[in-house]
Amino acid sequence: MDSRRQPGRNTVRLLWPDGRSEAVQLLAIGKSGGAGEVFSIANKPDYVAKIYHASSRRAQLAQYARKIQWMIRNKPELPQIPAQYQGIVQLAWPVAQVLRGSSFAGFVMEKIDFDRTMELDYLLTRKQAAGEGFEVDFGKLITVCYNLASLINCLHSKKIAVVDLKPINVKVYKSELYVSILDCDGFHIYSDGFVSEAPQVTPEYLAPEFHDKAVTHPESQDRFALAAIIFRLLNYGIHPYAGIAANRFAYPTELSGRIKLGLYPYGKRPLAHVRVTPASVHESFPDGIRELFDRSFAPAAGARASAHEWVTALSVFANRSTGAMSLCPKGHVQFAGKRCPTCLREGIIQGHVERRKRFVTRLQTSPARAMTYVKRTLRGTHTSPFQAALAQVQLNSVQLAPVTMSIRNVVSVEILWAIGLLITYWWLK
Amino acid sequence: MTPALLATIAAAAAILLAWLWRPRARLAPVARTLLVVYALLGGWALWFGLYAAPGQEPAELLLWKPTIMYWLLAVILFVAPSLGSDYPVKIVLGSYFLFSSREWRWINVGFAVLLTILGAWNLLVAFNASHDDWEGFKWSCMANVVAVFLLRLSFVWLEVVARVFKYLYGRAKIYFS
Repeated sequence: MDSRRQPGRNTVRLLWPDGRSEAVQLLAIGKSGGAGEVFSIANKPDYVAKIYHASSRRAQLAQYARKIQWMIRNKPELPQIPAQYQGIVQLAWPVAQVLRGSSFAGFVMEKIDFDRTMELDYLLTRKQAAGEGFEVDFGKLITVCYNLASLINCLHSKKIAVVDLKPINVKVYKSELYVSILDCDGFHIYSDGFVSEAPQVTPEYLAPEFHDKAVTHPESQDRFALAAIIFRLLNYGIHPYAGIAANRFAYPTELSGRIKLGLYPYGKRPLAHVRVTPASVHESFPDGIRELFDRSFAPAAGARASAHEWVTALSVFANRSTGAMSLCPKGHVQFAGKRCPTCLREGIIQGHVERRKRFVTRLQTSPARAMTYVKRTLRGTHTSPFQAALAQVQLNSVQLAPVTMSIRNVVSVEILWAIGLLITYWWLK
Repeated sequence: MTPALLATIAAAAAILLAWLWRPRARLAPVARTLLVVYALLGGWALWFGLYAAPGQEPAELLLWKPTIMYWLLAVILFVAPSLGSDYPVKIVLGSYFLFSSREWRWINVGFAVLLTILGAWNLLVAFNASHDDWEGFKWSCMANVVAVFLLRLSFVWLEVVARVFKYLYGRAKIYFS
């Protein structure tokens, strides 16, 4: 039944946790999902109500009611937000029940200001983010990753898991960089006194052990999805299981198939049959973060990095005073002591454009020679070593990383080095 | 003050400084393994050089020394990555170079193969050529150690010295202004 067509049915009663009850009018805003519809509430601009579809089965509605009542009583303690940031809602958590007559109909949650936020999905494509007036840099991305990991960590500490954690379910405050998770009533709760499962999953963010099975370890599933989202945020939207098949390997076309087989090609130890996407900048990530990715996408689910580990690792980079992020000569934010990911990406794309231009010119001036060049490149049979080198690699000059340790630490390490070399020299003598 | 005493004081001061200014971050397993190897070689050199009676060190072992050094390093270079550690060559060359993992892997393998060949070569020379020839070869091993020293000197230590001078200059400027 569509409640917009029945004005009389738009008056409901809100039941607050302190026992207060009040009659309010719901106003349709045209936002309807699989389970229910979202309404604004007259005279309550900071809240919205989600009303479950009238077609919901009675048993299902009773299940929703139990879950919402538990959630209202057990709001998790969220990461602290500085006082100057007003009106930031990190979770669209239920705060009151909505009753129609005496029956449960839905719940009230705090309103997320959609003008101040954008979908996390937009951060995966720089152009989309720019379209929303958000200039992406690695400093902002790390802060968003840190805030997301902090939020997930708070939920896990309360034995609540998101399960269907994916960029489209997460909103980002454009100025403050805090994140907000939607659809809280779909969370998986596995606390001691109450259990409520979450049947909704997305294959691209589903841990390998839960494909074709129910999610029996929701926290482990969240760990996988969190790592996948962080990887995509830091790697220009490239999914951790996106790669290129090598040596005629039977590579699954669907990401879910690759996840199931554990074909993560961006690890510190590369895969034999799958190459990384050429535009990937994963080489410019700090070693600690790469280790967390390697563990999160390793076949053993037990080694998967927890949200708390992500918080610890990312806090170093999210905190300006540590100096773990620096500026490259071109002014891009980068991980100190690593290649600048923005320059790396620009270099890859520029190289690709130049190679394409060269090839088109060659094709126009001498099509036969161009075809021979292509064939030889494909077969790896260039007779001229110079051409073979040109076809295979882009020659880069060796770059030196800036010294990131303090001068005292560097002096200490180098003294040890000098002693080591002297010992070796003496030992040989 | 004898030169030996001066050298001892300088070495002790350097070790004390290295200890006081050491990085507080946890050492990577590869770095710890390399430190243990150095400690063992140092202990060996100290024992036979200072405390044991002359000639106590087995003569045949002398011929094996360069091979032991090369092969020990080669084993660490080969084994550490397969145990999940980082590439040890990063520590030998200094992580101040920006190479990709793929490039570090090849450099690591290249170093390991070179050290294996040099170790085998030493045995070949030691047991098939004259003692003088082997002495010559041994000097070349020491030249390799000096080469690593020079590499770090040009890429790392000069940078460190420059930073120290910059720091001292900054402090002096503040002091005299």
